[in-house]
Amino acid sequence: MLQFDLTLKAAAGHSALRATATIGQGTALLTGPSGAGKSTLLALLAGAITPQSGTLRWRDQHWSDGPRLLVPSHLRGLGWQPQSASLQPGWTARDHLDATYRFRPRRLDLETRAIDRLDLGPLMARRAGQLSAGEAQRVALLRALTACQGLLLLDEPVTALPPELARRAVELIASLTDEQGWTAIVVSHQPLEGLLPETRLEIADGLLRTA
Amino acid sequence: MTPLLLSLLFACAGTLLTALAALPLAAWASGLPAPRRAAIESLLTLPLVVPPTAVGYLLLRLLGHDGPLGGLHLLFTPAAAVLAAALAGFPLLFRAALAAFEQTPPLIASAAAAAGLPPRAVWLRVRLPLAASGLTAGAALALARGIGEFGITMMIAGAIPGRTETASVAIYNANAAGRTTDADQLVFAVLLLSGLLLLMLSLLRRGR
Repeated sequence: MLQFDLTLKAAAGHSALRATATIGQGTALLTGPSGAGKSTLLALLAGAITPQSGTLRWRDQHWSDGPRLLVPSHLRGLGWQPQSASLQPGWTARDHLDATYRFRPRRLDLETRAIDRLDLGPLMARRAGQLSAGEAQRVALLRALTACQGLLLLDEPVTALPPELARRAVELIASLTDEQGWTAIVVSHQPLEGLLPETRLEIADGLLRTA
Repeated sequence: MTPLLLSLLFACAGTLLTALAALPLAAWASGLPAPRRAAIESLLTLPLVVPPTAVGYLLLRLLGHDGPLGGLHLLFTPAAAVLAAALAGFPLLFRAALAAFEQTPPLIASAAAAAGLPPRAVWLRVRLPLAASGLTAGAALALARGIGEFGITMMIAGAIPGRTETASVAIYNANAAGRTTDADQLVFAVLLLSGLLLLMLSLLRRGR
């Protein structure tokens, strides 16, 4: 269970945000107009941005209390796929996974299945700097899925993918979330085919509401 | 050793020494809020703006017999010449490193952290490689500045032939003593060396 009540003042790169919610196991679909703060909320949950006040709890851990980060990003067991370019250009897809495996357990079955479903087999040895937008998006999704130990944060995970691949990616996200008992927050402009969210969240004017 | 070789040696050692200080300081400063970062940047750029003789004089007071660091007996040793090159190159490398770290897309580093990499690994494996071209350029500039160092070296390292007399100091001394041929040769060699360095630098930039 993810529980938060966070306040963020506007600053360079993001607008003000007030977000309170309790999200259980399963998928949560987060919608809202552009610039409303969807990506900012995920960055807050990921520990990439520090809130001014409020609390953030994951299961029985206090992740942040006011502006103090009690559990830093790398110890949160996250799978986070940011919306824009987040891969190290000099690394291959394989390098990205291996870097994570030095600090988190490798689940070979999960990895093999994700590589297969996302059609990434032939791309694993290619440098991220040489990938197209859609390819990079799939690699970022793959890293999030293989790194995830409980909380999955996906920011527009399939927008750059062709429909058939997008459908398979969403299916993979939904089934892994279900099997692994994850909590997944998926940001999307529109409902995603194949995703039946347990929770619906909406951000408007910097305020999060449970729809 | 010949003055030119000493110049190169002191500049290389000085650049290494300055990198040890400039990189961690730039990494630290890049994480500070803007006003504090600007203050630190101004303070650490001072050696670039203050006349080298003034910097040398301050060092002389610091390292002299009665100075607080007099016990180190550094004055007029090769170590002092290395220190002079390091100090002269420091602002150049520090500023280049700070700019390179600031230009790193923050999302690449924070995504790596979220994927499990602790801060040290994020710095060593993600941020440093991303900043590599900026760091190389800064180091080359610091090296070039170290080779050309004159003022600070004169004040704290002197001009002991074969020991602390660098090319730039030797040119001054040769000219003052009327040894025009010696000066000509040294100037030609320095021109060649600096030209080569600049060429390497622009090739490195283009290669990126």
